[in-house]
Amino acid sequence: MRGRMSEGNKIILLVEDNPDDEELTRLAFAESQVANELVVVRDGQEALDYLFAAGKYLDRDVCEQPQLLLLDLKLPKVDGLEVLRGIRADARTKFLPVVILTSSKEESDLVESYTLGVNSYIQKPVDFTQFIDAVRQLGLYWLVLNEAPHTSKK
Amino acid sequence: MQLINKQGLLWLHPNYRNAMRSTAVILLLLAFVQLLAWLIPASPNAQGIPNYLPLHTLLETVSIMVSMMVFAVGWNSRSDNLSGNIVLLAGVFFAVGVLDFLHTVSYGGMPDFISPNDPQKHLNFWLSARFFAAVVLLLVAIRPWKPLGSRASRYIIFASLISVTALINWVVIYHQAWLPDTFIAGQGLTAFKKSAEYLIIVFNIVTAIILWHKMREPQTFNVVLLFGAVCILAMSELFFTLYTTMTGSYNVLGHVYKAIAYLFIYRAIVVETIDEPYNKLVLAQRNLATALRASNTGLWDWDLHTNVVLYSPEWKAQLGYLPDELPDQFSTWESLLHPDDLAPAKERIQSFLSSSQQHYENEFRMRHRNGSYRWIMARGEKEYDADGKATRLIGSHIDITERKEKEAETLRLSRAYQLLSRVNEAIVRTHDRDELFSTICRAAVESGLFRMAWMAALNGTEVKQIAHAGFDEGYLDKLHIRLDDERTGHGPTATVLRHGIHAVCQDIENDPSMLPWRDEALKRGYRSTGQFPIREAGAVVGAINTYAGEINFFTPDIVQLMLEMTADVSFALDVFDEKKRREQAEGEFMQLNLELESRVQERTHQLEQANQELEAFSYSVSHDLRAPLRSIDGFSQILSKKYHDQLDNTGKDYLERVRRASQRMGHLIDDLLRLAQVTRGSLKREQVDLSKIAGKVAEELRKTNPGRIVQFTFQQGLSVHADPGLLRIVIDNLLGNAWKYSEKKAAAEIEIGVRDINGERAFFVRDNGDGFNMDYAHKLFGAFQRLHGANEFEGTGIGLATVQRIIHRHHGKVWAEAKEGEGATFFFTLPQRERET
Repeated sequence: MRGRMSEGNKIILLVEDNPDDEELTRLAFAESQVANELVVVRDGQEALDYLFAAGKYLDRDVCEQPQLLLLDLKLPKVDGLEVLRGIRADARTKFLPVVILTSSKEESDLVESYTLGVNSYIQKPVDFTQFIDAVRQLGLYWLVLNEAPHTSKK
Repeated sequence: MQLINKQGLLWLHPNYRNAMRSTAVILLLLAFVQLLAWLIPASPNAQGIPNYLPLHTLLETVSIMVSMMVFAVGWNSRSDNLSGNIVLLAGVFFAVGVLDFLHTVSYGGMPDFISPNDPQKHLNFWLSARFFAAVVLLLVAIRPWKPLGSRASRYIIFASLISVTALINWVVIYHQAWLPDTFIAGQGLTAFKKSAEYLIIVFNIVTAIILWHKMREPQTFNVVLLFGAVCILAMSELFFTLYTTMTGSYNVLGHVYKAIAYLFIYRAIVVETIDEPYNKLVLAQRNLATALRASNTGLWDWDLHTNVVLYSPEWKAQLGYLPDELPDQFSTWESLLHPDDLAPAKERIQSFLSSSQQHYENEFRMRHRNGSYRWIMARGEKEYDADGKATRLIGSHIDITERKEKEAETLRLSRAYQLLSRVNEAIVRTHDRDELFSTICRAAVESGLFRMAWMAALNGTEVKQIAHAGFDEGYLDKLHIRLDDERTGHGPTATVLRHGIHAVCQDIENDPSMLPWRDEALKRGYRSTGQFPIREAGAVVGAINTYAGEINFFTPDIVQLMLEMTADVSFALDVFDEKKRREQAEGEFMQLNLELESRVQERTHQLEQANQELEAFSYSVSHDLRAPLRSIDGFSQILSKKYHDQLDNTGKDYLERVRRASQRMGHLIDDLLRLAQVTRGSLKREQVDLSKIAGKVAEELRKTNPGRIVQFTFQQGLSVHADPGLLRIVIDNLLGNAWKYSEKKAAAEIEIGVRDINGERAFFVRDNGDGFNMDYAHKLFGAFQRLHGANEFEGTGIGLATVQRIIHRHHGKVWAEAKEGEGATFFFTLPQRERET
């Protein structure tokens, strides 16, 4: 299982401004034995720069897109929903699997997210055990089971 | 026949009884004298009176004079309805006079008249005269007493009589032989002569009988005197049948009687043609004068050549003058005419004179001596000379002032009623004071009552003009009325505004109160003025000022109508005020509503803001509070796992406490968020199966602790009309509580059902758990209120607060009954729709 999940060494892009949550997420991935490279960006703008090879990610190959995007909603500069809008609006990232990973369980956030075309919405549980469980299932599904179209890579 | 039927043959109409009585006395006296003369044997002296000729001539002269007087009076009498009989008498007495003259000059002893005089000659003249008179008298008695057919008839009659007289004259003088003998000297009168005299007597008697008969009816002529004359003539003739000598006493008496008879006829003619008409004329004149005086008719008679106009005393009296006080000149009339009427009246007279019209009529005003003007109606007719040119104008003046004033008053009143009705109409139609005032002023002028009208209102002590109409020509600009002004503050308008009593000035020219404005008013033809107060709520707020073009315009009736009008206007103003107040109240009410509405909007806005804040708060709670908790929980777990060996038991216990605390706080935050959420969002009611939800919740509860023995009793088919999501939270909480607090029971029982409480369906959740002290029941539903220690039962203290809020949002009630140690029952109601049973 581990081997399969690491196959291709695909990048997971985590957009998270809280270092605690970043660390917990790393721990949770580690616990769940998800070995993909975890790239962390601190705000919405940085996330977009990364994805579209702008700003400090100018040198990055746009064709190399992450396998999964974990997106917090409440972010400095450009918030999560804006980032999602930007991703879905661009052909290069249109099919990128995006999972909202947030503390909010606001109905409006949920509706908005799904309207903008999010793939999953997960509330971060307070209980770390539950969090690990959630991350494991997330990894299993999106990195192993799910087949994404390959248009964006070509 | 009728005569006999009446009171005997001698019956006379009452008109003639008195006159007949005195005439009868004379007749009887004369008859008595005749009887005496006949009975007493004639004395020898009587047979031949010496120097009889002068006596005869004297007697005949008297007779001739009377005859001529009869002619003169009768012939010259002028009367349209003069009877033809008078003309006949006049004519025949001229002939009789002529024949008697011939008889006199033919008398023995007189110089020969053409032919030699002899007794036969003068007797022929005599007899023909007597015959003539008797026949005509008979004719007069028989002929109806009426005018001749034409004017020429009198000349024809006269000419005929003259011709007959001339013929007699010619025969007697030149052909006496043709006539029978009447007298034979020595023998005396012949039988012919006597027979002729008797025949004359018969004529006279027949005439007398006819006249007597006529006296049974009223006649238009003096029948009594004619009757007397005929009777005396008969007696006179009788004497002439008796005498034997020409100079006898019978002859003398015959002549005397004849003269008396002629005097009777003369008298009859005079009475008929002079006395009667004169008396009638006098009477008519007296009647006319009385009528003129009574009808106050003045007469005028204008000689167009001399321009002299005779004005009757009444004419002058009409204007307050004595008969000798005004000159009889045409200019008198002109000088007394009203200035306004002078030109048209003269024009009228001139056009009448130059026209072919016969009748003149006009009305104008003339100045009375006392300065007032009288209305005069003049009528007149032209008189023409032989050439058909008008020479005179005669007519009358009648004072029609009273009638004119009545007419004017009637007109005024009708206009005043018109004004009143227009104002009332305006009161009903208009709801605006200013418009009403304008309408009143306009109507006052347009009705023809006033030359000008304006509405005054007080602005402090200043009098404002708020409306006006009519012929003003800058007059209003010159008013400048102030109540506190010495000069203008005591005029009628100020007085009315001050005291509220109407003021009337009947003659602006002579009323001191109008002095400040007099000249300006007169210049514009205002002669009288009236001010009438207008009240509002009992207080004087204005006055209508009216100006009429004539003095004494404001009669009591007009004043009364004006006061009625202002009373109506005052009433209307009160109604307007009432309406305005009502509208104001309505306005205020509307304003209040608007304010209320805006307040509600504001509140709603505030509420929305609060909701937004709450949302933001919930968001930050869920986000920001949970994040650190997650860190605390996560790192303490990693710590206890990864560094398990480096921690002693106390350290591990502490880490465990940290984790529990953080997890409880997580629950607390979740509950708080839920509590906030149930208050927000819309309520989506639908039919929900309460029993089904309860079943699901119970199942989940069982899963959390499958080892527990709990007896659930659910009444099936509990259907309610509610928001399914919220109802689920209610059941979660209530069943959760029941589950939780019955934990310590070996055999826990939890029941859900429905009960009828005060006519309402009350659902209940009952357990046989720990219950609680009812003393604290009121604290049960407050947020963060817990009746149990944290060590006893887990809980955040927010669950029941959430339940209560949800039930309240459904307009229901929630309460609890419990006993410590014996369990608790929570009731709630959810108002149902009718179709739910």
